[in-house]
Amino acid sequence: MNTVKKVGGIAAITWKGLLIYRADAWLNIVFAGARVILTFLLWSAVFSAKDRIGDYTLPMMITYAVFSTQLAQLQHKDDHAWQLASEVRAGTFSKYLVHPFSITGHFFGLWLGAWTHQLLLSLVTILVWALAFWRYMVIPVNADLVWLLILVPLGGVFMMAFNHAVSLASLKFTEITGLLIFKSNLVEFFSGALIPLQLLPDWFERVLRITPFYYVIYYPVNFLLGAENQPPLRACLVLAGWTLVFVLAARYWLRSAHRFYEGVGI
Amino acid sequence: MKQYWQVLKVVLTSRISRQMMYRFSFWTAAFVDGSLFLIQLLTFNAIFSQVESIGGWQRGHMAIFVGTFTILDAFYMGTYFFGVLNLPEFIRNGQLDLYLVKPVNPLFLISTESMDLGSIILSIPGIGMVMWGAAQLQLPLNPLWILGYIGMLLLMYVLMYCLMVLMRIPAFWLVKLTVFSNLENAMVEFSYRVPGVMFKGVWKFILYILLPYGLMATLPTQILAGESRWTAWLLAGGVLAGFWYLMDRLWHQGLRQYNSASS
Repeated sequence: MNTVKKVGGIAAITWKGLLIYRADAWLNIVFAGARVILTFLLWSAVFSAKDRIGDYTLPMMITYAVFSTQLAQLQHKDDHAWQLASEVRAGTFSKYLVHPFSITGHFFGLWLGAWTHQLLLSLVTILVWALAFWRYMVIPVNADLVWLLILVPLGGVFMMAFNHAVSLASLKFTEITGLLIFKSNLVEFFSGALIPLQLLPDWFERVLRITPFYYVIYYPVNFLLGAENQPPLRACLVLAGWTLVFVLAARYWLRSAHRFYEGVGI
Repeated sequence: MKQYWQVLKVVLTSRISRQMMYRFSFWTAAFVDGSLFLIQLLTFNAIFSQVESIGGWQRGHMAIFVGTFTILDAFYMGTYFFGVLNLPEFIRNGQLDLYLVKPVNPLFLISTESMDLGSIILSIPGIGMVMWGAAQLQLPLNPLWILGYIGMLLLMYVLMYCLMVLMRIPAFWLVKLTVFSNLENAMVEFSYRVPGVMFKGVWKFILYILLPYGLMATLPTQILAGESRWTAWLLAGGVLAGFWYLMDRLWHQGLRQYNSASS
């Protein structure tokens, strides 16, 4: 209970910090359309020669773009990982060693605050841009969509655990900017944020199904479009399993790698 | 001009020694950019496995287009990218003071002091892709076209610099700039994938003149493919002159506004 309260407290402070920049948030909602518009221009040109690309029609592809760009903004939030890496580099990470709270718990609180704030922004952005492209929106409404209420937060928690585990590499290597950018590039592609994974070769898509990234963006949006055959329970289990793997890895690494931390300035 | 070269030489030497302190990161720069190139290649292949041509451009054109943007990306990432990226932070925390008191152009120093030469390696696969595209289109590769291509690439390299700086100058007036960096990320990401020939009407005006990311790899590709006229040079020159003037004006206006963090 105490832990939940502490995590909630950190998340609330993060929220307060983010709410200061309201103009930035509103402008982000407006300019988020740049990705949607450019995707629309690209796919309109591609679809001018064909009615279907894979299983997608042009409206399905535009719906995919509207939802996947926002889900990517939400699930790829890794400010907490950059913060940890930069604090290790600057030596200010030392403060967490004397805090009466776990390091992972602290960064989970930071992530939770930023994630819930982004969730609100993403929902408004989707609404705005889905209305702007309403002629192209295809969302088959059915009771199964309730699964998204589990899948999306679970995908977020997995990404938090994954990013946290990667950022802890800074304890040994100190400067990991390159690693963090490399990680972001891979995750963006493997999660289907750039293009629907169905357009990749079959064998590649099958391999991606055993990775958690498949279920972070591509699966939920495809599920929303009614174009997914795999049961949502399986998706949840894969995400939960991989989350556990990264939580344990982070825990182990934190215990064994803290001795590498030099604590610049101490 | 001589002074700029001397500064560049000193910055380059000190940068290489500094980067060697973080060897892991030094070598990952090339690796990271390589991964980005691979991802763009896979994306390009995934889209082109579905259609024969996009907006009248065949696979060869698109290969030149993606290769050209890769070369451009490698050179700006290797030279000014990381320096310009620091600009808002320097304005916010007052570190800009340290550059203003030095007897060198502060913007030049900030832009070049974080060079990451590892990224330039990425231009090799980019050049390979351009050559593959040219072979696919069976281009005669007239030396004049090649020179024109390099010249246009240089213009686009400078234009990209102006755009990057312009996206960060608002830091003199605004505290948080995520909207500009998000917009820039989206534009750069699509500059890799969406050739300018797809834009029509108002979109062409926006993406050629107001946010000229649509020109970046499109104009050099058209020149190499021999599909460009003198109007392309006029367009590139005009847009670059306009953005250079705007950048210079806003930079000086921002400096007048700058109060330093500690004063």
